[in-house]
Amino acid sequence: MTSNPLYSGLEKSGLEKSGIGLRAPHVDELIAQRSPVGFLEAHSENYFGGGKNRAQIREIAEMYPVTLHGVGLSLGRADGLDQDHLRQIATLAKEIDPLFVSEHLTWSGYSHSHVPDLLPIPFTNESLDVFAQHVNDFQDAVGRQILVENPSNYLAFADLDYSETDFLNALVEKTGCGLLLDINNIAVSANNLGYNPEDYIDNIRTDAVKQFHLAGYEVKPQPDGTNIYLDTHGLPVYPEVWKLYKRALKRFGDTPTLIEWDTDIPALNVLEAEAAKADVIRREAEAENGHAPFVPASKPESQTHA
Amino acid sequence: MRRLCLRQNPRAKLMPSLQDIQSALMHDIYTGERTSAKYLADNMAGNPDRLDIYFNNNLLILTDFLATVYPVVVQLVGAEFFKTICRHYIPVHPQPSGDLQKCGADMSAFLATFEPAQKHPYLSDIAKLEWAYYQATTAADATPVSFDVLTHLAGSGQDFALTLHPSAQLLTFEYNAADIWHAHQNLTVETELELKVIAHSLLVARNGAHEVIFKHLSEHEVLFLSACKAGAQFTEAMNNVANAVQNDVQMATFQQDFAALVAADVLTQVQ
Ligand SMILES: [Fe+2]
Repeated sequence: MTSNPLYSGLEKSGLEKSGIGLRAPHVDELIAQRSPVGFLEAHSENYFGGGKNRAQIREIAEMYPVTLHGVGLSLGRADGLDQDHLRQIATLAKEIDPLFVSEHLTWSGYSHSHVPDLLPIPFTNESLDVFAQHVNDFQDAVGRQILVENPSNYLAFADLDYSETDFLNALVEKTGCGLLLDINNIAVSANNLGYNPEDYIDNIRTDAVKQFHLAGYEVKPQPDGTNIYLDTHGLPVYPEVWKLYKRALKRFGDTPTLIEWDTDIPALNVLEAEAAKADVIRREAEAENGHAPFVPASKPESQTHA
Repeated sequence: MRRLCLRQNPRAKLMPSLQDIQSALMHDIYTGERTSAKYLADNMAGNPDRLDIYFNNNLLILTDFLATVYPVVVQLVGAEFFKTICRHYIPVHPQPSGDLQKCGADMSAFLATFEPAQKHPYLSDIAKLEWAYYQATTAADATPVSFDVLTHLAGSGQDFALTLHPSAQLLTFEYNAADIWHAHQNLTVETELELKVIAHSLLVARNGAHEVIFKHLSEHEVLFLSACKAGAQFTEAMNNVANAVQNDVQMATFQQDFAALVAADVLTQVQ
């Protein structure tokens, strides 16, 4: 087994170094001086408008490899995608030429109501048809493969046809989408819904994972005596999650990795250190697993951001 | 008993559709009710108490977001009362699209009739200004019309149409909202400010340097900009003003104001 074969043709360098989520408090600093991180991930919806924000994301995309990560398209909604939302992401993607465009295995809008959250979908045959149709619509709109991320869930539905991993695997089969595996979300959902996180990793197909997310959760004791893990992205990555990450690196090979931090956002160097920690684990994993070191395809000299 | 009730057993009924589930769950997240409980798993992972996680998260994130859009309202009423406002506002004005930045558009209208806020009659005006400010920072980009282009268009012999830049908003206020807003931008200075009832029109827009500007408008500027906004050709919009001015001095003043609007990147050409 070699490093993740899905990357052999990628024409952007630097992905052997892990990235961090692009957050407002760090934007000026990231523009003033090139950070050593491998890439930056922008939340698509934060850059829908014009003005200073839009100018800054263009500047960032000139300096760094960037991924576009959506939180509001609501791919799992039963009543059809918001075409305007889709157009806005497509326009933005055309403008900044991201490495990946990703969204979540969730829904967040129905009819005229939306939530700033990622809601669970019931893993039924109907949901799979709806979700696959929307992934296809999304891929058509942006003219490229998209990645779908496993979410943090707090609730499960009755009468399911699939487990989450079977649902994701089937979605790849039906649409040709890639997967963004959030290792923290696996730990969070496994705790909250009562399954084994290692089994989850072992059940994901090996031919589709193109990116990992890492983050910190918070533990909140419930009145009924159980503990809920909340996906707050407000703390360093837990040892338990680093352990799962090593398992994922062994299964999927070396894969671009991103540190997410959304609440109590620390100084940039704290995030850079967390990304560097992931890099050390990646290099160790390559040595242990006998993988060839991750060698991104060299960037052609003529390549520019269109 | 269970045997006899089998037909009514919710687990044995037709599978709910995705629409049923989403409609019920969305309702619950905005009301705190538990109408979606019947769709949840029959074990700890389907404990209906967990709906509170989504209910609380929604309220918390939207309240935090609204506080960033309405910082002067927060200063005027205090953080606690602002939370009360949001608790009432959010269920009747849910986030309207997947773009969070579109949430909060109805706050000014809401505050105008929200009974507990009536001791601050100017709050609605402040909210209107803060929403406009936020829209001005996030509105789409568009190329403003320059003096050169205007000169060229005017000399071409063909009529053309101007409209407001996407960031530019034409608003009316009852109180001196911009004064109150400015007084609350510098928290270190204790400002004694006189609240005035003074109906007026204000233009809120983003200039080429990404700065938000407030510009008091004369009645002639309002006449011109309203005509442009309504789709009038340039000649018609100018004629509206020419028919309304009383004398040459007023016309000269309008021409200066018009030049200032162009210089502030407020106008774009309709293509
Ligand atoms: Fe994630």
